[in-house]
Amino acid sequence: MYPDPSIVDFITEHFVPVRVHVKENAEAFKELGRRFDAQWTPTTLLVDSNGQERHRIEGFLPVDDFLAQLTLGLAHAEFARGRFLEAEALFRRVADEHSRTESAPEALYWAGVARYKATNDAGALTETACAFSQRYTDTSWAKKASVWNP
Amino acid sequence: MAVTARQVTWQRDFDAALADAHGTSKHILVDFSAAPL
Repeated sequence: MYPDPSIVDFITEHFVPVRVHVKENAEAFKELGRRFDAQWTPTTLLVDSNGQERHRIEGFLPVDDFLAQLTLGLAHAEFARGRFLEAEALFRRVADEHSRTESAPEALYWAGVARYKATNDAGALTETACAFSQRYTDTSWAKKASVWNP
Repeated sequence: MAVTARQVTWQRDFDAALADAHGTSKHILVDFSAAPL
């Protein structure tokens, strides 16, 4: 169950949702579990229309964190399609609207990468490194961005 | 008047969902669940 209306609306707007229940759909759970290597519940996968997994969420998350992860997944899917500006907008949405979640620093990092891929302007990476000097300084994403410092 | 909570309309068939998503901007969200139905 996703009792929060914001999650219901988000899923309805962006996804074709499929539920595979460990008991009620045991055969499908076994087959799809093997296909996607899902070994725990809840496991939520964002799969593109070619059947390629683009994002994975394992375990329960509170509403804001879950929405952040779903948006992050959409962003990664756009990135994988080479739609870098669309991906950047989604990554920035995670960083801005879900700034207190653990997804935010990852999104901030990838927003910079997406901007760079869209524009070929290395300044996008430098700006990202500078942003990490102010926010999320203790995260692994800040460490990864540190190589972009001028 | 009773208010009915909005719910996700889940499909059960992954390949049918894949066909539904094809040619649209939507992705498939697969929820492996053990939660009470």
